[in-house]
Amino acid sequence: MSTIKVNDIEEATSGGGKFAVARVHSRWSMVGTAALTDSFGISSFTDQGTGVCRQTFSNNFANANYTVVGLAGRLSDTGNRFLGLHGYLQNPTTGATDLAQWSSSGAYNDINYGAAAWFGDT
Amino acid sequence: MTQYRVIFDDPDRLDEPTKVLVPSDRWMKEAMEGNLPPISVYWELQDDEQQAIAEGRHSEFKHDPEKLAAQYTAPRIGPLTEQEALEYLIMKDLPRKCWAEEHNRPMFKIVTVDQVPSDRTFRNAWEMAA
Repeated sequence: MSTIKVNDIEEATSGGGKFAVARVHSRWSMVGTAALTDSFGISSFTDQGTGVCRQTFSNNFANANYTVVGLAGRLSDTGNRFLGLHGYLQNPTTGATDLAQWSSSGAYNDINYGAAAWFGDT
Repeated sequence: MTQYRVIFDDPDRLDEPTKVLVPSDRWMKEAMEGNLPPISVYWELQDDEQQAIAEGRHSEFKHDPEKLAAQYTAPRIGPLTEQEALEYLIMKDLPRKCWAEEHNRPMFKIVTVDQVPSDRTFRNAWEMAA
């Protein structure tokens, strides 16, 4: 069996790949002091207030029609949490996405497990 | 791991709570190793997109391929100190009005992480101290 070992894969033509991989991912917490737990392709994470954050990309996407998948929750706590797009301050741009987190009561809520990945053309 | 944060107010949204920018450790490492393009590469992309938003054509907007590629192909600016990397990040990720225009008070400050409150009970009432 052969093993391929590389540190990076790059499309020869932007947007021409026959595979879709996440271009950006982020794990964050907004309980206590807001923190970026882990990330790739993120230059900064901004705590905008209770339950609202902005994820800013290291490099811009080609357009703002990318796909975001995410997960929200509170470790070691009860109750459901939800994650969604926060378009009030700013619609998604090629450089950043605003995300909001809610509790099951519908109120903005801080979570300690936020995770998202972005798929799109770069 | 950087111990710095940038607190800022958006001059267009002063009724909102003060925001706290957390730099990505991975990005800071790239900056300090000298792997960033000139900041003008990002400004050009931001300007083009803002113009599309202002003209109501953002949903069909696509970046110019050459300008987009410059993020990866433009000559790198060389290693930055931690302070310089933070200044670059401010100019890249904060609203431009925060740092490019004069105001009657500072719109942002670089602080250490221990200067940011960990009690978020009244998070939406946070204001930058004078």
